[in-house]
Amino acid sequence: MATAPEPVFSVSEFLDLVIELLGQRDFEVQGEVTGAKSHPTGFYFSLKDERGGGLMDCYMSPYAYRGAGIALEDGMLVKVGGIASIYKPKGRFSFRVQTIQLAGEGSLKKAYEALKKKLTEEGLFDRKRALPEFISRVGLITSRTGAVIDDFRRNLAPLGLSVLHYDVRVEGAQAVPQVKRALEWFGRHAERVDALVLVRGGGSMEDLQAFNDEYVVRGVFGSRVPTVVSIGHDRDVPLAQMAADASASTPTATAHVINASWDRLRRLPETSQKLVFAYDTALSAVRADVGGHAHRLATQMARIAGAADRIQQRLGHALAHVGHRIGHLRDAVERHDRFLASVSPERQLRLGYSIVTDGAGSVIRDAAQLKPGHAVRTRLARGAFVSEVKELSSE
Amino acid sequence: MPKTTEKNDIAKSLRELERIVAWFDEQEQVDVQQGLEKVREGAVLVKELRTRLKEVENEFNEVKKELEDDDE
Repeated sequence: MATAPEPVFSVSEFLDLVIELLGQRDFEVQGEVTGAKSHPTGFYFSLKDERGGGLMDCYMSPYAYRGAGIALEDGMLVKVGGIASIYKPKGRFSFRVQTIQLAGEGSLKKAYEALKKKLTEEGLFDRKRALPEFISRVGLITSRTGAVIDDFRRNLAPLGLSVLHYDVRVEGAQAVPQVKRALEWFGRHAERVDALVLVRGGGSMEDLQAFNDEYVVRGVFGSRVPTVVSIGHDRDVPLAQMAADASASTPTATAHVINASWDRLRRLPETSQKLVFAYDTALSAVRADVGGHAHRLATQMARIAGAADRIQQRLGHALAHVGHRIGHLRDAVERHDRFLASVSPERQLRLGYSIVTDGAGSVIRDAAQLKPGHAVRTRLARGAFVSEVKELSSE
Repeated sequence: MPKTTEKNDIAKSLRELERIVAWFDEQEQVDVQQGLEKVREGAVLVKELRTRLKEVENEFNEVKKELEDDDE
């Protein structure tokens, strides 16, 4: 019985079949990068074992390479994900890399330090925005499963906060693209949240490498709403956390950061009490001041009044002095007047004496001044008369 | 300054009056005519002084009253 002959493939047909068989599942392969070379058509490198001598050519499309956010260098230990394939024109085996992650502390640490230096120089870790007060809508990027999300939700204060959760893988090859997508989504819907929280429990540097990814770090920095990032870590603070506006050590502490935005309101009773006390204190101080001023004023008034009294007293004395002086003057005038009256020749006339003058008006004091026949004028107390000398005697 | 002039007037008039009084004291025998003139001069000064003193006294009383009113 003739059996059906084994089909004979052309080279192309055979390669297509092998490519199809190889492409039926994804593989993850870990190895050390060698012969890394960038080319417009993609990124080419080989992976080799540290021990054992195996070598595998790898190819990454420009799109996949840019998205990985890793600058591949020879000597790096990486874990690549993708499918095996054959490059038909050359019939050469090739691994088409779709995801790439750093593996091994050395590579991770080196990449971490390089990116940290670069972003520090750009100032990505300097800007810290204040979280808004009274955060009521929280954007949350974390894994749906695990204790982290529960811890976070349970510790939010019962203030009627709404949490808009975007589920992502937080480690493994899918972590970077999913966290990126979540950040982009919240970037487009920034108006739906007051603050964005990115949170993950602790892990090794390899576990946390999505949060040291340049694209993720820039996404956190570029968030339109303030960010709180809490990634559990041992030594090196994840760069996404450094770029955040605020951070906390655990999911519980992160919830407390959100709760703290309500502090002012929650402290309201205490604040109002303080206000009353402060007002009372200020009032007492003012009252004491007024009392002090009033006392000083009264003292000054008394002093002025005292001075006025003294002035008045002195004025009174001066006035009395003037009064006495006027009295003395008046007495002197009256005394002089009386004296003049006493010595006045007119007084003599009133007493009966008379004054005799010659024709020239000179007073006759001696009879020898006269001769019989002379006319003389006699002045009396009242009136005068003219007479002629008849006889003279010398007594 | 009228006040000063008034004050001087009183002092001056008083001095003149005193001079006339002294003149009488110095005379052993008063010349009737000169005496008469001096007396007349003196009488004018006395009249002036009385008038001025009365004015001053009135002014003084006003001031005194004002001071006493302020006290109340």
